[in-house]
Amino acid sequence: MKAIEISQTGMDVEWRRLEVIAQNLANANSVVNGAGAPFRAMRLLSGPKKAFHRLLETGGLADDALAGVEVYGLTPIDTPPRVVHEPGNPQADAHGDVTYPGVDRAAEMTLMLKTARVYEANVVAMNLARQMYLKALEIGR
Amino acid sequence: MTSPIVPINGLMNADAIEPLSAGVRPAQGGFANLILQGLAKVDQKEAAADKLVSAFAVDDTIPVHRVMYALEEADGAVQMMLQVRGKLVDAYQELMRMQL
Repeated sequence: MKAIEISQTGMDVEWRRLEVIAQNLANANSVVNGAGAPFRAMRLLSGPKKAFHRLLETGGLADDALAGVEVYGLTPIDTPPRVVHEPGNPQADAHGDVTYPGVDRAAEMTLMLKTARVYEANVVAMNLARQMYLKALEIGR
Repeated sequence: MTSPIVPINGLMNADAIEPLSAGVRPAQGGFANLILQGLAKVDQKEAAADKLVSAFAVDDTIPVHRVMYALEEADGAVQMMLQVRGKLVDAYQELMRMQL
């Protein structure tokens, strides 16, 4: 049932990516130079599991070449922070400016939709693989 | 002169008839093992699914697709075992129907 395992890893990765996006959106209004750790918007890096080089070496379908995807890590996005002039804000600095993290809300929403569609595609792939498995059990009936 | 009638030689190099059960028994052991192994695997998968469901009820950070996958895997193992059982029962009935 390797196709089902691979779809499972795909769903795991998209789940993590959604968590990172949710973190970005939730922190869109966290002041950068306020109390606590400064927030930087992150992107999840993912790719095929390390066995991908086996796919290139063997030029085809070695047993461990199709291993699914995994999370490689997080990388901060280097959009410049938003500087807003709010003199009344208690977290404003000497000039009365408050810096918010550079979270591009439109980009985050687009990425969230893409993530949701890929997750659904993985669910459909897994369901079909399971249907094939159950069909094979009808051989000889 | 015609040659005398050659006496019939006794049975030479006659092997003893091996008992029938000597060849049959290993195959029967294989079938029994097949069913037991299948049952053990199904039991394992059911236990894993059960553990994951109760862990999910307590702690929400386990992704829900992992829980569903464990349940589906257990279900698939049960279906497979039913098919294997059906085939073995059919084979047994075929053998029993042979006229001796």
